[in-house]
Amino acid sequence: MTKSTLLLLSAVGILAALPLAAELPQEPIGSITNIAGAAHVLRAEQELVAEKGLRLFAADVLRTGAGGGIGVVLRDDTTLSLGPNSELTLSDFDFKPDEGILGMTLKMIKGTLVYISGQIAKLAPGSAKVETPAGIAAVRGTKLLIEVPETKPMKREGKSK
Amino acid sequence: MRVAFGMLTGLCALLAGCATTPQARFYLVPDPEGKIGEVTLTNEAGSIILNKANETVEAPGGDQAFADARQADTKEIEETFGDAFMVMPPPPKGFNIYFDSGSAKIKPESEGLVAEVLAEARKRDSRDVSLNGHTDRVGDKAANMELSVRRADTLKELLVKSGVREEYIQIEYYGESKPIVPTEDNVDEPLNRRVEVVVR
Repeated sequence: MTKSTLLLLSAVGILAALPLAAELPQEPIGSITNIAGAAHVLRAEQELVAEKGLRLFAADVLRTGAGGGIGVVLRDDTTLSLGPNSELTLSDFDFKPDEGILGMTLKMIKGTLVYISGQIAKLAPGSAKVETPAGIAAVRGTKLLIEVPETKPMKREGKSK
Repeated sequence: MRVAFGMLTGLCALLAGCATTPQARFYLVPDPEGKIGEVTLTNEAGSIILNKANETVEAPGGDQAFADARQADTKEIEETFGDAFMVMPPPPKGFNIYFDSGSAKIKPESEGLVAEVLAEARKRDSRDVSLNGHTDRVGDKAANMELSVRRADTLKELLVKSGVREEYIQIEYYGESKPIVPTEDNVDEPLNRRVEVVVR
């Protein structure tokens, strides 16, 4: 092995290690307080079994099966729950009242959501949002219920080729 | 109420699969204190505001406008959201526990409140308790930073002794930097000598 190859390889090694080193430890944005039936949290392509007390992070996806349910409290006192066959992404969550940084975006993919807004909606009305496939809800201190009925899979006619 | 909204066609690109999106239904209901808030719904076709109890509206999806808002009855709401209501968490509960001057000893007047914190944690089987320690401005900043940790630790020990597992408790500490009552330096202010507890 030549010296230049060695240098190249070590450079590749350093580059490969960089993304890991650059990932700052995230602060939890909330936790699971209630569970019914089958419920999971999808995090960085890992599927975790949802448990009472499990800390949640921005970008986590909450998913329930038939008969499943999840209840969550976020750090700004937002409370929310999902019924069966539901999916919700905790897309963004910024709660730094001292610095005036306030905002949250939840993405309701399917199923049923019960949502009671917390301090973010109170301190910065309109900055707490729930996106759905058919519109965005901007919340000003409220209890909101959202249903996104599951889409029927499209039937493909004929052969795939 | 419907508001004309012509500039949102670009949103179609953000909402995956506009042409085949399912519809969504939104319901505004009274919060636990009985208050009705307000929510603004927006899609590519415009926006609509819900601000009455049990007001509901359907979004057909795609670039179609929201339907007219109507009143939902409680039976419809219960049938659709009953399962989700079953797992809805109670609102988090906050407490302020006060301390003797320059010390991590809980004030006798706050001891009853400590018992309430424990009762609340037990009632919920809480697995998420925050303890945020604070001081007044007597003494120097560094010492107060250290004192604010010790105050939070005092409470943590009490909770752990009473059965709350350590891994479910998180501590943050701010020394004298976040007073409830702002004061000059070296002012003795009992209201600032506290640990703020949130039981979830």
